[in-house]
Amino acid sequence: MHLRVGKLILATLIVFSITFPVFAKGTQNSNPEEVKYSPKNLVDEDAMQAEMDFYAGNDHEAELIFKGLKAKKDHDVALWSNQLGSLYLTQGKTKEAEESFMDAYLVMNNIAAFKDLELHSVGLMGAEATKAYKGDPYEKVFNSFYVGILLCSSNDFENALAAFKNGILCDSDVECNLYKSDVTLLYLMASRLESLQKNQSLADDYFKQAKEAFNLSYPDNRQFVSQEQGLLDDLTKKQKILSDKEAPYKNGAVAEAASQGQGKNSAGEKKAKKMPAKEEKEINVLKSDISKLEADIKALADTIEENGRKIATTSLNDLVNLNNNTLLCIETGRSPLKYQVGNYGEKAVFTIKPYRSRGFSVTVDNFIKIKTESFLKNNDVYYQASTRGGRVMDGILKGKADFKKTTADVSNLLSNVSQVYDPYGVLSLFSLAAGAVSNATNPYADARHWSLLPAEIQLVPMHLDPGKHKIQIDAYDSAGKIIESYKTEIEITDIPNNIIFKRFREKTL
Amino acid sequence: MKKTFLIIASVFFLSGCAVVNPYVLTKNQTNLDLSNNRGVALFTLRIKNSGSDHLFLSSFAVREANQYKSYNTLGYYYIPLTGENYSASDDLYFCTAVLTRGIYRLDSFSGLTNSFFSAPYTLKGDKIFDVYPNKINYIGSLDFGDLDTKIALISLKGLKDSYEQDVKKFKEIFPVLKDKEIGKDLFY
Repeated sequence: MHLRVGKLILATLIVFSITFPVFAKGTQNSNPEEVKYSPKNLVDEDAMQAEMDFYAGNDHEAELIFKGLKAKKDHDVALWSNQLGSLYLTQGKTKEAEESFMDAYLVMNNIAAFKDLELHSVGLMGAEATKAYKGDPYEKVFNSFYVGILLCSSNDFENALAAFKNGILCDSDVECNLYKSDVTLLYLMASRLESLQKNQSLADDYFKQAKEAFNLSYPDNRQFVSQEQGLLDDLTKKQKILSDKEAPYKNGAVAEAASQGQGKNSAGEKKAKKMPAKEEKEINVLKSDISKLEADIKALADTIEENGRKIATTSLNDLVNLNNNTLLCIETGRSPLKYQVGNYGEKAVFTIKPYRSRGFSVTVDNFIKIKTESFLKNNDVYYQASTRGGRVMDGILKGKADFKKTTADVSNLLSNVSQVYDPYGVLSLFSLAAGAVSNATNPYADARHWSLLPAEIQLVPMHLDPGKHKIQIDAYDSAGKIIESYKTEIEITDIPNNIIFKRFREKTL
Repeated sequence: MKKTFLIIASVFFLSGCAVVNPYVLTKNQTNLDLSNNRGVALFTLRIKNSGSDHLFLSSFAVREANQYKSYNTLGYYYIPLTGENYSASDDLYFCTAVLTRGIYRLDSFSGLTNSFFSAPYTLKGDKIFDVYPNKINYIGSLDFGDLDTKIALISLKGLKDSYEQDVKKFKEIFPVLKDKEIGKDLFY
């Protein structure tokens, strides 16, 4: 009997010891914060709260929300990963930031990821926002930049270089030629890494492209680049019209006509189709317009080149100089805001909130001031976001908006008619059907964007001996007044790329 | 019975009168409740009435700008403008918006002109502003230039920062703001 009781107690103890950790875990999960921010309790709309918390400096709340949303692994996983990456970078958690940006990188650059959702979004009834978030070209560019620079600081040069090259490729995915490949940062980092790997010829090539990109995106040149791009677009259009108009009178067309027994004289020789005087006049006007456009484009290109000769390139040289073993990456301001406009929200546009911190000074060990000529500036996200050209998706959305308007009009018209005379309710039924189709159509543009990106990135290359150093960064407004100061101690090691990040976010919302 | 009916009817009528739009400040307001993450945005608007043509604005529309919501579920607010919002001496509309913290797009202003048919008129704003929890902010002064009754819609001509004079006037018109700190965070 005693033995049985002993066995029973032993069995109870064994069962309890096995099940206790499970219960204990269950108890841990009842932590109100964990429950509140668990993936199943979070919805996409909570991200706005996280975004505002981030800009208000409440990183803890923001992190919990974005982590919970990311854990859902839904079609916005790359967006949550990017947001989380920026948050970690601001907190100085570079390892976590690298992981998050890499998670986003893998989705953003994978054509096959969430393909079924993409197919649905281009249909008339699918909303663009239902497709997986893979980012606009500018977002891919900056994701690649962060992945690259974080891998660089981990001494993984090959993968870092691959990321920078990927960014360069994404930058060429914009519609307008002149805005292709104008992200100087990527070319410079690629050049630096090629130098580190003793590929001097490739490094020189990247550096040359960096100079071109720097020239094109330099503020003094932006208006000329914009004008030139406008003229180039005009030229392409006119050249196409000319080519279409001339096509019926060209040799190929004549030969085709001849092969069909037309366009030959009695001796069987080829006869050119005569161009009507009206057509000839139009073609001459087009040719004259094209010549003028070509001359204007050349004049603008010369101005850009001339300006380029005056632009100091010290910052470019300093960034690729391998003697500079430390790169300070200063991020400032709030990312561009993307929002929908149009009667049906069918267009997405960008705007930016002006940020106060415009200039910086960096002091090392209380007395060494880094010269500002070394600061690589003008890497503004808004410029990259707003010069990407029209997207194919915008065209599809315009079609959807037209469809929605037409079906809505038909629905309203039928409804009005049916109120006048429709004894059997037939028109009402049609009206209801048209209304339902109209409501099911989703023309809304996708406004998802990486809102925790900074407005601008400045890179400061410098040489620091291995060991501990004190760094002070002062942020100035446009009037030259200090608006924020940051002091920290950093440890420089014997590696070629010591990278330090500092975000000056304007605490607002 | 008749008395009871009269009391109920008068209570119903009076309570109807006392309904205050939660998105605006009023002249007679004595208390400002900014709990639940609510904040206030203040701005002015100028449109020059030309000759005998006058525009009477009745409301403005504000739409939420929130990338995480579907467009058709975004908050859309019609905020009324009444006589107390207009100052004839300054030729300015003093507009207030009490909203939950977030990013908003000032869409348009609606009103009527004093022409023969009292034609509806729209002023297109299209400016973004932020609302901060428990904060009152001045967000700028909108200028729509001269009223042109030949067209039914005009766009924004300019935006300026008239913080000093506008805030002083806001405090005069809305006594509830008198002792409150008013910050500045302009439209963008």
